[in-house]
Amino acid sequence: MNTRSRVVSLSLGLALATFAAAPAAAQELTIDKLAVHGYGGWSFGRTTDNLNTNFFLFAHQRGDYFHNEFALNVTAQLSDQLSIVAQPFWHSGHHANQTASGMDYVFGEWKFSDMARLRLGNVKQPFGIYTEVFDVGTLRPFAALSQSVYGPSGMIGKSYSGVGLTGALFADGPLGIEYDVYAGGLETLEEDTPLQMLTQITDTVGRAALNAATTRTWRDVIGGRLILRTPLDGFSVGTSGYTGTRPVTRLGQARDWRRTVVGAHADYTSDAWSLRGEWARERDEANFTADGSYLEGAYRLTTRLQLAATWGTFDTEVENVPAANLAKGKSLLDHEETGFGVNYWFSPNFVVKTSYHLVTGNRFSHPDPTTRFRNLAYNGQLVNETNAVLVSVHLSF
Amino acid sequence: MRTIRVLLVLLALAVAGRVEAQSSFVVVVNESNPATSITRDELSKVFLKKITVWRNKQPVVVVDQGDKSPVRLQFTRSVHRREITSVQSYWQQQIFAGRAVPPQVRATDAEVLAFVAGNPSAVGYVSAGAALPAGVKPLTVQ
Repeated sequence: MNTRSRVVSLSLGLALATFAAAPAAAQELTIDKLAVHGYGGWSFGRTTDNLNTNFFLFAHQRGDYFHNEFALNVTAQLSDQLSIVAQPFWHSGHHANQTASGMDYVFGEWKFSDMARLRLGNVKQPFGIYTEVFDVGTLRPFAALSQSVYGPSGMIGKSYSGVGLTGALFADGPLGIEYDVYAGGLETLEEDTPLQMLTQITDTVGRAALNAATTRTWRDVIGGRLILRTPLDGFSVGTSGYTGTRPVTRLGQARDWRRTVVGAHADYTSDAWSLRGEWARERDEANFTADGSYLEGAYRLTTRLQLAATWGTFDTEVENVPAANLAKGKSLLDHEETGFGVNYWFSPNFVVKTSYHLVTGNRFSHPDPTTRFRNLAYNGQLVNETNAVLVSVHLSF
Repeated sequence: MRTIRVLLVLLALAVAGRVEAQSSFVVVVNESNPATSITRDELSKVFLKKITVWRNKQPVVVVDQGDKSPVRLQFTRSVHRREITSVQSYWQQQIFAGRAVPPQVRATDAEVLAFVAGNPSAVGYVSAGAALPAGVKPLTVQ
């Protein structure tokens, strides 16, 4: 059991012990001051062509039934000013994100006013529409978020560790502004094996070992998000950005390279419709740029039956890569995704989703394990197109 | 002329909305609360915790009714202009982003009235026919 697992287990144990042993006075605290919520789900995915060896998200050619997750959200409102929020998670799966547990976030918030709330600790990163609810399946129309922005490219992090300020301005007027600013450290999940392969795809000797998906630690991060709530009920637009340094080997140098990510989004939700679009760009000083964008729409035919569609694209530009490498491995840089889904909502807290996805490019859809991916890429035998069917159940309370 | 007709229709719809808001439920606050009226938009933001203090700077304590309650349905459609499921999704977003938790819930009008009577900063709503006890007063929705 690693340190994170021990912390989660200890926290859960203490929480359960508190509930079990709580005297009458503490029960009052539980009802009025403590809120316990959670979310979870199960997902199945299969790529439809048996000749297609690509994985996409949790889908592969034989079908993967073992992708489960659960998270517990605990909020303690200790006073009008002070609240403590924590969210441990458990996750199991056979591909990409292996079995894991840890903390999504744990932080304290001191409220000076609605306009200024100070947050200290490990806080969900405010970026774009979905980053703060990255894993919550009952808050989106597809089993997974669009990989074009939320894929493992290092564009968005899960949470920052440090200090933040958040608040709402003009909340009582027709135009409202919500803001976040933060500083500290950040962790991002980055699967840049396709980029590593591209740099040596034409080599015949001396190929370096590949690093598989990894969590990278950013230092000295500053960032923020601004959301404008418009007079049209349910419609908002926003912009986000952050910058920091992270240790990678680029251009033959292993050092902390600065990377900056900016984004913009628009979001409209009504009882029947949800229409969302996002664009984000990451750029680092090692001549690397990537753009991701997607559109996502969903419409409820009835209160329970929902149709959904999405389209997204992700393009990578890496300078100093020989033309021969690009000619042989262009698909390693690109991702385009079109998806259609049908969802059945038993309630806002319980939904079954089915979807079909056509993916072009091998940036986020490729063979696994890495050795197989590498061999096919180096031999020019990668399949550029992936068809995936996803079925998932999501719950929350 | 056409513009005037459109304006008259919009005015009629606005008045109808206000009548509906006032006829199907009553918004209640503690008798000590100096507020006498609130706009629909403000009330919606109070119940979504986007506004968390009264004009006298006292913190707002919101009490809601259960999601199966008919008065909750009427209140949600009239004040939030949404279905209850949409409001529930809004709260999921707030909870899991670590930003806010939903208001406390009381199962009946009587429980809401007792809560409001005992809490100077509270605001709730009850069925239009409910008798208001001492310590509770109605808040006009404009």
